[in-house]
Amino acid sequence: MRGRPVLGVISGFFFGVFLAIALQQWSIWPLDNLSVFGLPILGILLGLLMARWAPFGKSDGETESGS
Amino acid sequence: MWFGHASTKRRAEEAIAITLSMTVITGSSRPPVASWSGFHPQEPSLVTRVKAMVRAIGEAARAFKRTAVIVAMFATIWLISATPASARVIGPCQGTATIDGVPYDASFDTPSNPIVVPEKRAGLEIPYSGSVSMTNTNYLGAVGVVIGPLTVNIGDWGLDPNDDDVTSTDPGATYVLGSELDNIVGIYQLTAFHDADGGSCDADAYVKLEGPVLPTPAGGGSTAAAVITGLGVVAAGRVKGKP
Repeated sequence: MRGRPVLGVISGFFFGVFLAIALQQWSIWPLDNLSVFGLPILGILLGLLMARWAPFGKSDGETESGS
Repeated sequence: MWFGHASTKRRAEEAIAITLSMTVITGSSRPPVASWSGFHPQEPSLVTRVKAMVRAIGEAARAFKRTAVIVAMFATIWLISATPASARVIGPCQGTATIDGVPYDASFDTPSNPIVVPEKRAGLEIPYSGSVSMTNTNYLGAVGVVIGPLTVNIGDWGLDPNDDDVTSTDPGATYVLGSELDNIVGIYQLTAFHDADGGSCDADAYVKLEGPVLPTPAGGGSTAAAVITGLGVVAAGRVKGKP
């Protein structure tokens, strides 16, 4: 796993939480068990998959010249 | 040593791996003859067998992890995409309300077909009626907003002895909305119950409060937070920096 799994788990969890609230506020889906529990779990999995499928873009150690 | 160089060693290990697989699948330890014509491994060492077994177990574990992640993702997607339990009225109760000229009853009971409260709602008059076809003495009830596994109580009635056994609302009953719903938007699942001596009713409904989302604290805040944390998820796909 070349990405950042810890960042993926934490940001994925909160992404799911806030996405559930945003969907409720935008009248797309109410805050039921599915969104309250399902979206944070899906966010965690998404974060882990992003870390698993890294790299995306340049690493922090790379320079603009690419040398 | 029966494997003298790298390619021979690799072929021997592959043969052992196939042998182990065949043992698991068929119960026989004989490898397929056509795959290894001209090559007949002798007795492999115990270390080689253990290495092959560990490699096979590792591959199986990785495959299991991949499968588990995929299954979990599809299960979550299925859970989220599944239609929630339709709102309903269970029991000998019925009711209607007219909001902004639209009559509503228990059939407006899904997130895609909710009871709509317009943006201009302060002072809105809502005629309503309801009745129960049971003995309605000593009734009590409550209505709440569903938030995940919790239900937040927003109103209740009773315990009322109702000695005259009144079973319907007064004709022409009207509720006037005040400012209690200002700056609140979104879709909400409501659940209610009504218990009396003659029985009980349960009901669910979805209510959509219209209005601009971004100016509200909850709407604007949650949208911004979702975007920011979404960028965090994307950042998880970047390669770890060198120390």
